Amino acid sequence: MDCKALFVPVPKVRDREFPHRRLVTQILLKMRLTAIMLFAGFLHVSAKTYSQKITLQEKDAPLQKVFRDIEKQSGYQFFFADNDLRQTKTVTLSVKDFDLNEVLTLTFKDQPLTYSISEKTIMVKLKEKESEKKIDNGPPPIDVHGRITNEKGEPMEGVNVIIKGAKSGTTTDADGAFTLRNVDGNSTVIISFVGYEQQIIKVAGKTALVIKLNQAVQSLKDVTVSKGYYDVKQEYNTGSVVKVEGKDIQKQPVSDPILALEGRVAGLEITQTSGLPGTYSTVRIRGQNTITIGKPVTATDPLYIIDGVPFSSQTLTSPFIGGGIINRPAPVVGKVDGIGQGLSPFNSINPSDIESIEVLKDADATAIYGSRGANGVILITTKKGKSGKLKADINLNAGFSKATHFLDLLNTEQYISMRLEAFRNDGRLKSNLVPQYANYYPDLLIWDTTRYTDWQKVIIGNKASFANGNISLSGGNENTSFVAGLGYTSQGTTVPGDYKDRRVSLHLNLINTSANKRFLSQISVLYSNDNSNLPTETDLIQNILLPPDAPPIYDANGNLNWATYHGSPTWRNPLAYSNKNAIAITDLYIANLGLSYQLLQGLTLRANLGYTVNQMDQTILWPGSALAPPLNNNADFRQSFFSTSNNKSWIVEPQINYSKEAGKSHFDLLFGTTFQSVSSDSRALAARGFSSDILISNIQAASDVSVVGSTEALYHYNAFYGRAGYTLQDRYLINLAGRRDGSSRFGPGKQFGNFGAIGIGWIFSKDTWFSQNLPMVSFGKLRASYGIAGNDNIGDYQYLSTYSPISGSGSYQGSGGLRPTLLANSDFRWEEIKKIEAAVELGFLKDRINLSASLYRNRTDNQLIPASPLPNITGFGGVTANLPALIQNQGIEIALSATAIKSRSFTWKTTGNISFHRNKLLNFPGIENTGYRYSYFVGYPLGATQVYHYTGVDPQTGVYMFASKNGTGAPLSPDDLIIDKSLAGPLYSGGLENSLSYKGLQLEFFLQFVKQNGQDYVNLSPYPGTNSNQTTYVLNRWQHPGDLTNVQKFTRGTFTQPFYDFQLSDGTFTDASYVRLKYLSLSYNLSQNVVRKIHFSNFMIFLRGQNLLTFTKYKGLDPETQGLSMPPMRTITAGIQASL
Amino acid sequence: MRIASSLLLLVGLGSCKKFVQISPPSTVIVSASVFDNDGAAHSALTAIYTTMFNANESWLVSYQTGLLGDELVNLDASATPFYENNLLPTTTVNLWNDAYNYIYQANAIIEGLSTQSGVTPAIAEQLIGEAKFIRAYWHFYLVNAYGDIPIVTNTNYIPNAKLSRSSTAEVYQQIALDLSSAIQMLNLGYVNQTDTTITTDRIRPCKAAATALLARLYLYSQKYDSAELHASTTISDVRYSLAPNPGDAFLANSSEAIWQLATTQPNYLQTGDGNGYVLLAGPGPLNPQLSAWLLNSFDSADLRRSNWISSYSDGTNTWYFPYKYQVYDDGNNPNNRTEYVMMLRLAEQYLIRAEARVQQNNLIGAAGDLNMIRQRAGLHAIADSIAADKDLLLTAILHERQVELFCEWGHRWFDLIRTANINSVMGSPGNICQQKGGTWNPDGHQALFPIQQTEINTDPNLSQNPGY
Repeated sequence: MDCKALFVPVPKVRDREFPHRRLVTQILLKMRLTAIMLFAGFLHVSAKTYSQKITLQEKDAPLQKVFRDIEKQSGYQFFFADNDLRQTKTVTLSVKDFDLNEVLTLTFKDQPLTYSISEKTIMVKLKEKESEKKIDNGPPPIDVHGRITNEKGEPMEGVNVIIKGAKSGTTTDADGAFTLRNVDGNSTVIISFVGYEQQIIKVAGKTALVIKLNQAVQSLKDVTVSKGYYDVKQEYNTGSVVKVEGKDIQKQPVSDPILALEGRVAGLEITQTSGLPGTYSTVRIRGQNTITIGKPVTATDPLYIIDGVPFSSQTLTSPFIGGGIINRPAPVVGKVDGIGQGLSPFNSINPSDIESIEVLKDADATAIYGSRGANGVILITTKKGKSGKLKADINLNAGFSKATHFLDLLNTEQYISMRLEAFRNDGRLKSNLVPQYANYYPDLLIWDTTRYTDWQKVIIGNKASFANGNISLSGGNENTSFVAGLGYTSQGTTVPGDYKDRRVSLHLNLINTSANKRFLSQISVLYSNDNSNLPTETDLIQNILLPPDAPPIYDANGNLNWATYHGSPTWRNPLAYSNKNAIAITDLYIANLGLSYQLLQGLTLRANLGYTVNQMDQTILWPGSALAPPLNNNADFRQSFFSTSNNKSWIVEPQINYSKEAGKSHFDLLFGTTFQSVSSDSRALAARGFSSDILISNIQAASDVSVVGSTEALYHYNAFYGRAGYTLQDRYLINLAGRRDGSSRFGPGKQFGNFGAIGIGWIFSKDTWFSQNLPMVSFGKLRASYGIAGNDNIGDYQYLSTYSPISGSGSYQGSGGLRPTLLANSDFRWEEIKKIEAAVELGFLKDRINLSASLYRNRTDNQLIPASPLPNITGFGGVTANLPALIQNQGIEIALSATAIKSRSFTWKTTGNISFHRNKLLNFPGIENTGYRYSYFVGYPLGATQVYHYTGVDPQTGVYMFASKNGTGAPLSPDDLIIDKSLAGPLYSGGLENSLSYKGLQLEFFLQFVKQNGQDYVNLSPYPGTNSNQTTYVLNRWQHPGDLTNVQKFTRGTFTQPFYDFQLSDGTFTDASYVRLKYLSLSYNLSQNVVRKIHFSNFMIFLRGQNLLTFTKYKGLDPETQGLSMPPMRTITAGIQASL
Repeated sequence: MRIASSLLLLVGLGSCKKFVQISPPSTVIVSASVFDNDGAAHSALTAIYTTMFNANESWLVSYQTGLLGDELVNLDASATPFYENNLLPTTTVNLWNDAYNYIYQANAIIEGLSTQSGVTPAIAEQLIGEAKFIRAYWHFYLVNAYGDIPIVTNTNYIPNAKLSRSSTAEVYQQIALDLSSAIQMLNLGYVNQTDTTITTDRIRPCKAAATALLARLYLYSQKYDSAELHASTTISDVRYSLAPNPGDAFLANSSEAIWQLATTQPNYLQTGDGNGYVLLAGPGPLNPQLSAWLLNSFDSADLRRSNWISSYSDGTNTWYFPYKYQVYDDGNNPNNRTEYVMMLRLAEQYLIRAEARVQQNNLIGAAGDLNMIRQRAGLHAIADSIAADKDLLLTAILHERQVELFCEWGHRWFDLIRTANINSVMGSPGNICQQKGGTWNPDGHQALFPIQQTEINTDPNLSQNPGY
């Protein structure tokens, strides 16, 4: 394992296009390892011993063959450029047990070559011409030894050390040391390492060099980004791609990698729907391109690709069984199923396995994804094997989470007086508050009205534990490198009960190169097991509004208290759920094989083969103990549900790449095809009639088992895609991408569509005029793109008219029923989006400051709606159809990164982004005749709503008033509705990260900000006066004629209509802007002396927090989730990160 | 090179159109093949009954109209809009959506079987007959609950999405057309799962069911001669007789059942009505109780009072509830009864004929029919003074309907509307609405359900009922 990799300074193709090639040449791999058994393979390689005596029998053998034979016997490796061997002669040789040196002398006799031996490498090069030799009058060759460290004095391994002009070099070992033999004393050494400033040093006769490398200022343009089928350096990129590094994801204590992207990427809007682990987040790139009513939420999701394999963002949670928080609503005939809730599939992905995430936004970047690129593309790349000494990285941290915010609710006294006042206002106190109806008013007539419980504390006030551990091993030799990572995450909830989401994950990546460096194979495997055990109630949080005088949760015997009155429970014990469980076990396997073979210079064949299996087993248990008497002892009510859902997909993507340098031009061509198949199925069983709670998870103990639902679906997808890139003079760029797609989601004749884009760029800073006149502008590029992408995210089989069995509903006359599945329309087509973008990218002061600004406009036409609303008189609520709505999204995104201060010991870096986004329904001919006429409005954003205009509380009557055409203050007709843009999305949003480091101490914090309006808590609360608690805000209610206030009088039912109208009015709109300290990380690197003493190569301790502070004027629980849903949690963890 | 050539081969595979043409999943059946197969067509029809039973349609209609009218009491917040006659276009009333979905399924069967030839003709005839009957049945409930409604007789959603409301008379005409057609097509007897063989289970509509519903339709549309004629057809049918004991009337295949819905889970015998009404403890928030107005309408000797009403008492308070259906989800099954949901029964036919006869001035015949019902209830014959007076006799019949048909398919509420008594009962002078805590508008608009706002939103030609 003590292999020394050698750096090859002249790769055959340009780095920015072929990072894999560069990797190949960098580490000089040979294909030897064929078994996937990684460790065994290594042992094999290192254990092999070589003889120093060579025996050869060659007749007219090409030189390469002789080299191979010598390599096999000696363990030495030849290193040469293919070009140099063109002029060589064949070799005829017969030797037995010769020394290596003797064999080499014989082999190189009469060849126009010379060789040198360094370590176990035999460097071969052309003999220098006589003319050149004459100039070479310098001092005799010397050996140069050196050691390279970073700014902190720590040794740096793998640093490239090359001699300028010569085609040879070396890399440093684990101690940072290197040796260059037979070096011209006048030569210049170039020392480079990714992320560090390059150093050029004149040897000037010195034989020992000690060099300290400084971390390079992170320059946007040097980052290589992936555009899926090809990679490009940001400098030459004509499209809009943002890369988030894995390290920025891993420093946040979240278990879902998507959550770590929140606020980090301009134009990427992520909204958490709940603070419970594993729940779904809404992800949108540059707004909502499509009408969503009637569509699955996934219709607006970007396309996700993990290591080249598409990954479905659709939850696996069964739609057939009530899964509580992970619930996914049951399909309704004629409506689109699976409205996107359920466990997020990203909950199965360990953020620690991620190398980087790229967000592809404009047409130039997304059109190559054709029919699936409309909503943008998110590429997730997992960590790749790194050659070098075996290295272990360990990261352990643990902490806890708490709810971020609580409401200010009424106490018992205030609550009871609210209730009584409500009855008085309604004039029905006497008729109602009589024992006959006691059960209807238990809070007043049955319960102890002096009790007080803070239900927020009970329901969401708990501490949730958080623990995370990752260990990874990496290393490799010349041929093969690997990384293997193991991770564990456990996250609790803030609700009472033993609920947890736990994940174990394993990641493996193996890279192997053939001896001639032409064949590269890469295997990557991701496995995870997620065990989610969450409450079965969907809206637990509603219970925080329980009357404060509600009875104790447990009775004297420690059982759930039902506070029965005449045998009937007077309340629904909020902790009843704690006896129920919704368990979902998800197994995710992603296996991927990448092959690439260089056929000719510049021509490479590649294939990407992937197979993904994602499966979920759900168990939902409703024991009798969760029920109120008398049902709690009835076998029929002990129920359990079991479901299995599978999603299996394979992909085959062969591809040809061609690249050519011709004078000042550079061409890149790519052509490929995709075959993809996704099959999914889901089955659910319901069981009931258990004689005891302890039998409830054994389906055999049930007296009655029925199939609740069974579905299966197949999706086939086929495409041709291509890309042509052209660069002139390293500064004029043009990029063309196109794709022809076929999808089985469309009916016959409608299956294929064409998509494409053009991107152009001009790196104006490379023009001499700029470099002379504006030297402070170190980099400048203008780019623009235009193209068409599509969206087929509508679900399978929507074009087919079918009947399905009624699920789990018994039979009639002994046979099950068949019911029409949906209204079918085979005549629908792709939804198309036209994207246009113009951007400028600038670097100042040697790229210490980078600034980029994009201006974009996306227009989507031909809206494809799976359940375009229809009146129920048609028998169904909707039908799949194309609608002529034209939607526009436009905006500006600005990203800035700067190194404000950089000295030897103190660095301050800051990066930030801000997006201004506007959405508008430009046109919708015939909207009046569709079900959308009260949902969407031409000329307004899609998020605009129709509401009444609130004018205040009538000082005389004490009820809410609204602008109404009839002047009464009570809205009567739809004519009184106005269109309001308050809920149309943020006015602007973004994030700002600061990173400060002083010696070993590092402080990083990230502020996320959103400027928006939202609906306050009132919108989701019951009317003040009913048997539900309220915020203290309602104390300000109207009481007497003449009172001027914004809260109407309490009511028990009589004045509910104005309240409901109020909820439908602009009176509930409020400023929901916020600035959130999304995370803060404080870490300290132990000094090298200490670290070495404890036998580590690196050791860091850290303290991290997520959602630590939120600054907002919002009235309610949380401005992000809004309304009555579980607010995001504040998480604080502490831990260590160490390398061995 | 082997690697290279295999990679080249992969690239060269090219696009195949066949690859993206997939066959439908095995979990569904393509519509066209449903109506090519006797068994599948049968399943498509009986799915409607399964769904009607599972959706508790019988209980929902009686519960919601019972709260609206004077039969039930329930103060739970979710029931308040019904109880206080304060329905809003946003209040959830399942009837509209459910009924039009059943009508869609019926239309699909009529269309599918009229154009395909794969189904045995005799089976197709019975299935189309039943589908027409179902279409008529649900149009009848829609028109009585909502007033003028769109008539839907096909599955084409494009024109149907823009339908406007037809007048009640037009709806009645369509119902009469469907029922007359159904009478022609349906079997005389009750069919079993083969759709042609006759069985004793009265759970599929037969000729008599269509005739009985048509009698009711004619009564509602005041075509009294036709109402009498059709009611007589059923009354004279030897298969039907009033159950001697009222307590047995709602048993499966009772002698007065003209059409019932069977339970759909073989192991469970409870009906939606039983689950919804029977109290085993003091009422919880969702349990309705019988109102004093209804309880007080019974004569103390009435066997229906003792058989069809039960109560739960905690010693201090007593709560009364409908007990026509006695089997309850919680294992309450007195005498191991087997109950089906009663859809049409003979007692109503007597009352239809009685009313039709009064309207045609056949007071003697009317009193005879009325007394059949009273006699079974253990009551004496109607007083001669009443029997001799048309108005008094009509009132007596209306009262008899109230106590015979209470909490059953909305009869009481629809009777109040069709006899134009609703304003005087709910509003002044009866003031039921006020006593329930609501306000009755003299314009009587609360007699009809509001059309759901989502429907108004999605169908540009659909208007709201006045007053909402």
